[in-house]
Amino acid sequence: METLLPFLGKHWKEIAIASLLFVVSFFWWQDHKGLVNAYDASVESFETRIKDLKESYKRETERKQEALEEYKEKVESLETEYSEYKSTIVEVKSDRIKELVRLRMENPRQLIAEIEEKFHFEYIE
Amino acid sequence: MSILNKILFLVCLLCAPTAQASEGRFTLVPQAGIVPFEATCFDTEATAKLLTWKEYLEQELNQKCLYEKRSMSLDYKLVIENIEITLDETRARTQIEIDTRDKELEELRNIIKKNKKLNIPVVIASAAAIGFGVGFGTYHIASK
Repeated sequence: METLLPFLGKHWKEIAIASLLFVVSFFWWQDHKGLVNAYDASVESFETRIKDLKESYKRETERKQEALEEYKEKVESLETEYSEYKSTIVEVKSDRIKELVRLRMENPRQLIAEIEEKFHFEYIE
Repeated sequence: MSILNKILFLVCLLCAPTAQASEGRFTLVPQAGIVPFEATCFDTEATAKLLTWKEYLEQELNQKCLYEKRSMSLDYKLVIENIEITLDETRARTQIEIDTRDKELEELRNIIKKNKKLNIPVVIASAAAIGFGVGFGTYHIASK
């Protein structure tokens, strides 16, 4: 204590400057730390945003793909249905043609009546 | 000669049979039969095809119309669905932007709050005053 006090009395200015420098450095470090934290917060925010946006775009593409697949299935089903109808109608018409040909041989009067009804043509004997 | 021609033409016009008002005429012609009027002759098969065509025309066209309608409906449904998906995801993306920015701002505010507590000029002045105080105090103590 006896040696410390004279030392402090002699070098108080240097000690004061050193203390000041230490305190200023500490606060500068604190300020720098704040800036680094702000930078980290921005980076983290950007990374989160990019990740979520990527997920959103991926989800959008998947949903659109699903919708397209569903559309393709429905169109295919519709085309199959229409194609089946066309095949059926061809068969039905073929049967009907045969029936009318038979009608011409077996019952011409009936055929005449049908032509008159369908086309409104006048029958001449 | 030309006057005679004109007279003959007029006579032909006057004596021509009256135009038929009916929509058409037909007759059933046996093999090697004679038709009582100018005609276009279809055989039994062709006649049957014509009759069948007429019978099923409406049904076929209705079916075709229905098919086209359903096909168009599917096309437009797909377009609308795609627009809805884009709308949903655009909303979601906007929300993501807002949320992440809010979070970032909150963090930055917290950092600023922490730094605001430290008033650097006051800190320097205080440190200098304390340093001088300690120094002077020590000096006086040491002098005594």
